[in-house]
Amino acid sequence: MESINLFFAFLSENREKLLEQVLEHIGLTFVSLLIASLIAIPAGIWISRKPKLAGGVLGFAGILQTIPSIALLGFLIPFMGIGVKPAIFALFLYALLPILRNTYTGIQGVPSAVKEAALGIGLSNQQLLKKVELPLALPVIFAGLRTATVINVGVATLAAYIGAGGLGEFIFGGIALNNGAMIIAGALPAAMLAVLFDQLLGYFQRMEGRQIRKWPRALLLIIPILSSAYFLPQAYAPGWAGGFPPEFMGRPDGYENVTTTYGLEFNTTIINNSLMYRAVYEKEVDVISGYSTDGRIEAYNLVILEDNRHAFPPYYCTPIIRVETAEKYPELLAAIDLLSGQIDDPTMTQLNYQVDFEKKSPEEVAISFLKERGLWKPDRAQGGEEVVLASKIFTEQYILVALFEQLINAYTDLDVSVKPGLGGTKICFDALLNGEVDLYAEYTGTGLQVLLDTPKDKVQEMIADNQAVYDHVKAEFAKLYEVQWLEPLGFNNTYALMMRAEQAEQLGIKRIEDLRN
Amino acid sequence: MIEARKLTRHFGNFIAVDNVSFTVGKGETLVLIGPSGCGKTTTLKMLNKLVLPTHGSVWVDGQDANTLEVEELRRNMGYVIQNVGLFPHYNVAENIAVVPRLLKWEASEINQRVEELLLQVGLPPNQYTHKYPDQLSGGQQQRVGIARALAARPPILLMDEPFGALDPLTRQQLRRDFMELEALKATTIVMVTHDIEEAFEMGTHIAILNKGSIQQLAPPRELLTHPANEFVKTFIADQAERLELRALKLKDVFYQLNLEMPAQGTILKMDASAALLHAIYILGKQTNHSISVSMNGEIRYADRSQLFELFKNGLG
Repeated sequence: MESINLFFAFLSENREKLLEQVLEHIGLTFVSLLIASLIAIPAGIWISRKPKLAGGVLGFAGILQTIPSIALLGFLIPFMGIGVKPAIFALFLYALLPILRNTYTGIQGVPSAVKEAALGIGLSNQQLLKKVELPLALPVIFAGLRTATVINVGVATLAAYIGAGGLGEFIFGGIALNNGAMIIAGALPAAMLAVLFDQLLGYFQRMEGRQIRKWPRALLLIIPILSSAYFLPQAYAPGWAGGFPPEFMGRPDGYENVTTTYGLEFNTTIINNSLMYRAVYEKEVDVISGYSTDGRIEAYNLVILEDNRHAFPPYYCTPIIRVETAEKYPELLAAIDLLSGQIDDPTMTQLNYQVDFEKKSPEEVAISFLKERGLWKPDRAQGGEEVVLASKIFTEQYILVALFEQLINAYTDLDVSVKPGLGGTKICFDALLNGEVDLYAEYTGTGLQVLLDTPKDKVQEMIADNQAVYDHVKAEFAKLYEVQWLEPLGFNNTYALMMRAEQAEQLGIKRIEDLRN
Repeated sequence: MIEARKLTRHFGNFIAVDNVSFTVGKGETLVLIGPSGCGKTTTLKMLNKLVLPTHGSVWVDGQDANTLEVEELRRNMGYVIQNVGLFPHYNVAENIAVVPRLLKWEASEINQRVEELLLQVGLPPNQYTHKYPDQLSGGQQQRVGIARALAARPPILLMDEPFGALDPLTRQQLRRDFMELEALKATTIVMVTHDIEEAFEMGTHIAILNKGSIQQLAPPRELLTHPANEFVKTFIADQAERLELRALKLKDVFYQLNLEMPAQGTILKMDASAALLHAIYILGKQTNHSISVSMNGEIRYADRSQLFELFKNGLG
């Protein structure tokens, strides 16, 4: 009952956002469907005239269909960047096959006697197509449009991953924050849209050829109108174009915090962590909430805006572990402790840079770092009990988990397994609490505001004092969760609003405060 | 009038039709018949260019068909096929009206023509105009198919096994109704069949084909009396007796008919070249009718029982 109430509370608080996302979602689905129809229907007609080509063309469209959707979006980024364009293009590719195949099958399915009779009594090839083949193939073509629409409604939820909006914003945000109400607020409308469009097109499809004759023209109007839904929300959104990852949007120390502390308004685009740097670089957005140690800040020539009002607490990176596990494996603590205080801000930025830009693997980077510090030793023979490490889903965490793994292998007999790329803080922490994960690297500020839900005035009291925050979370976690914070690794990876250096300089923006004008 | 001049068609190395020539005059019916793969259908399809000849040409009313637009050529030739090929998304009236619409006839003229044709093919317009093909029996569908082919009053009609898909009873009935159609009296017909009885009943001329070439082209009786070669002889041998009866025309029994006009009942005029069997069929449908036949300036009469006697004598 309570979760249902939470869900409705979330809905009523986020009505406008939901409407916006639904419109974007419908728009994304139908823009791509429209483009796909414009290409796939004529192509289907064409290959029905040239059966020798049909196998090849359908096979090619079939291969496109088999590319996993997230991977496809990934492939497209180097060519089309991020945002609406690659999202629509990917959806377009997925919609091609069902429409193409059904157009082809529909026309092939017209009885040859009907075609022969039509030609025999003097219809031209064009009249045959227009008066006989297309009308008879229409129910089958509709079935293709229907399949494509349902696929697109589903795949469009991934558009939020690359900052193209849609209901995926709630879904990704909800996953990152482990917020069920938020996930359902995205997933339920998406499912309802799929069912709605499926039923609607199913109704057309079941019509007999003779009733359906009037509809194609109406549909020619309906699809563009639905397509334009995408552009409605953008038309009246105020403020700076901000690109923020889902987790930032939902955290108490995130979006809400920075906008109230500074009295700012953003026209927000939800975008994946690892893509937001590119988004600001490509001018898709103007402001992002980056991580201060990210290697891409320098590479993309971004500047961090000074947080002069201390909206963000310190985020000292520290491995955390259940007390029970810590007592069981003292050798584990000793191995991890070798890293304590070893990595300062510039070092972490440099390590991140090596992975993000020099395209080295996190393992490679971890090993060369350990060698440089004289910490590297060959692996010991394994065969001890197993410990499970986890990482969140950004570069720094992949490197840290690789470092931990190397050290444990080298200095203990324990067996290590790794769960990399868990989708958010809550997911990592819940996994730690229920024993699926033994150790991962957390940040003091995150512990303070996301996991402990510390009252605002208490936060304000200690926000400028690194040691106070660390001591507070260490004590509270031990008390509430029986989780131990080990020694900090040394760097402070704080949230930071950042923008293109060039634009910041042009507008004379140095501090977050300056965004207000 | 339609004329085939040395029509030849190759499919790769296979010669489907080899040097076929014929002329079919106004009001005549040429039946193409032969074993499977003999080239009869290919020959027919070359007449309306559904298949293009490798060599040879088609002439329509003295004009080379190659000089005509292919659609124009086809709109002047009705086309009826075994599987009918009605448009399933059009109702009966719309199906019949396809060609008149292409020719941009007035709507009222089209409606009138549709009604007239439905009556002729024995489908009462008030019951059938708005039905869709899937609501009709096979025989009814083919009646509509024939009406569609005749809609724009084409001077030529091509038929590819038009009754082939029907059960024997429906088939015979439809065939005989078809021969009665007023519209066909002045139409040039080329028809393909594999049913030799049908060929003998309907053809004014029959062309027997084998391996792509015509073995003999002659009126039905002549095929029986003077087969051109062994192939023709064996092809019709099995059924020669029955075929002879079908080939029996009114003119063959003319002098055995009555001289006096019957005192009562309606008298139907029939052509001397009509088949005796056909006359029996017509009279079977209309009781109390008799026929009149004229030949060489003389008129003679007969009723059904008399014709039937003559037919039975033919059996002996």
